[in-house]
Amino acid sequence: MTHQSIQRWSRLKRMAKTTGMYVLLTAIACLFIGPFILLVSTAFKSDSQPVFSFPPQWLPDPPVWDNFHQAWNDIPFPRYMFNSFFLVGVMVPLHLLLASITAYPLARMRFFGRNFIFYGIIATMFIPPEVMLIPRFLLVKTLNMTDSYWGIIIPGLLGGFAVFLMRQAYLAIPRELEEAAIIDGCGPFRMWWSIMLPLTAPTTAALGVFSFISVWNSFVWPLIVLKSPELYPLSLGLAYLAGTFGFDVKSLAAGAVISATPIIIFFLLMQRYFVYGMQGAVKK
Amino acid sequence: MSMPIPTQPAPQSQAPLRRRTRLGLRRFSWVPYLFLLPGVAFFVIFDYIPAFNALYLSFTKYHVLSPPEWVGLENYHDMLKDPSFWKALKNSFAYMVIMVPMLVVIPLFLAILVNQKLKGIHLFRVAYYLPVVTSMVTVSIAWNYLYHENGLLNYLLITLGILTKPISWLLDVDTAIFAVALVESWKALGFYMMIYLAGLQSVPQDLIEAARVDGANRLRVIWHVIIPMLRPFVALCVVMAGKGAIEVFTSVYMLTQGGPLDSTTNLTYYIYDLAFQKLNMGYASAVGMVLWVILLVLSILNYRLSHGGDRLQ
Repeated sequence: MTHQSIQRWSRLKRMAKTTGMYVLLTAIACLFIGPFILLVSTAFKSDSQPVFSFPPQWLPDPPVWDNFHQAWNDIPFPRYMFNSFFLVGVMVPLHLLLASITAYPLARMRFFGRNFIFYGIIATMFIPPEVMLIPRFLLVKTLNMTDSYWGIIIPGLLGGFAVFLMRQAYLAIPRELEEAAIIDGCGPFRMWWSIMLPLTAPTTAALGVFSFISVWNSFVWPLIVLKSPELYPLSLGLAYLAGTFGFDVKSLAAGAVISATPIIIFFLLMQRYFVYGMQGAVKK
Repeated sequence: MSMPIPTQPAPQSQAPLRRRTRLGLRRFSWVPYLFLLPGVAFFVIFDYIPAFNALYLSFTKYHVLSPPEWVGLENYHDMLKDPSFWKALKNSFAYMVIMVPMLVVIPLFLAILVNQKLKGIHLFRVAYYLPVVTSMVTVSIAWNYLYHENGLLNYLLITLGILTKPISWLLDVDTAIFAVALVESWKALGFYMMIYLAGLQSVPQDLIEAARVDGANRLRVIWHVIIPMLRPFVALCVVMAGKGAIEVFTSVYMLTQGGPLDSTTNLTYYIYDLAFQKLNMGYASAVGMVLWVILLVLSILNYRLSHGGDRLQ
């Protein structure tokens, strides 16, 4: 073989390998996206087209919007949508603020009882939420907050992990910045608000993204606290639909598509923070 | 921040520096406590008080309408003779046995696959992570269609010759728990993949190159270099997956409601059913204590493996 043909051969081999890799990656991607595609396809099928058949009819023929209209208009879907956005809009900023203001002195100040308080907060991570369902429900009931937004919002505002993560972010900030600010006459509150808060922005953003997802998808707690369907967030409204006898499967698919769309768009916009947040959570 | 430090600082800005007494002790200040007040109040009211209340309730008969009545260990005693409890406990561990291997092995393979330098590889990472961010309710609805007797899964398996007649995956006592565990695992695969990916990025590249120079092929590098380096991440995934398997709830609620014949009811679902359907809060709290012990063991392992384990000692 000439030198040239060896070169061509190895290039071909490399190309074949790369192509094979893409085929494999795409096949696996289908396993992850496939069920969602199926959902979208079902949502667009017309009344006359069967959802289940052997062999399956993959594509809606013709695609129709009827199911979306039905899901949107026949049940309080806009209301569910509003509830979900409202909960996210109130809970995520408050969560970040509370986690941040709690973590800051634990990382940057010296005071009596600091370790005691820190370990006391960390210890709450060892109390599983499943076990807390009953006593927290009873507490919310005592506070007269069942079947209201408050019953969902207030118990979900802070967690040990959020404080832990924010504290790690504060610990990473060099001392000199603080000293310089003190010399310039900066008080403790301004130090936190105008200097430390911006410096921990990447971690705060990552925490915010995770908080957004968890509030948007929260299910068990709203299921327990809420009774009135008009207060349901999307996840619960959708479950309610799925459980409603006789609600047709195509409209349910349309409802599922409607409720998944905002979170998927949010994820696609924010994906780099996911990577950052995951790494932050794994590597101390 | 780039302001020059004045050589002669103003008198009032010296105050914080003068806080130290001669003994090197700082003067007491309310500032940190003011910062901490809302957060600490939150943890006391919504974590500590309920936690102790959960323990207290587990020693009572409490059906919400009348106040709790102290019965000592009776709930725990009842639990020993309650076949539903044992079934739920057994199923909780069954979820672990099914899910943990899947969530430890498959994501490792996926992470190695998406850690290559290929054009557009991050698109695949995003695709594999998509189920993680989607709600369990949506995911359950999608899989409900797949599992239908005339659904896609049966069609594929029959076409491939693996099955001869369709199975009602969620209605069959023998398959329902596997079907639920598969949905839960499928949803979480991307999450564990990202943990491994973080781990892979900490494996020194020259170590892999050295092995390649020494003539190791791709598989040998994975087996002898990458996997040993990832051992702490494997351990972390084992514990986290165990915890995730014990906490399975929404998929059970959406797909099977614990059925058929309690074959998918785990401790978490059993507690929900006892407390919020049957309003038997005392007994449910006692079952909760069992769940707590199991999760406590896993949480302690998790904490030590993931973050701050060294600091806790």
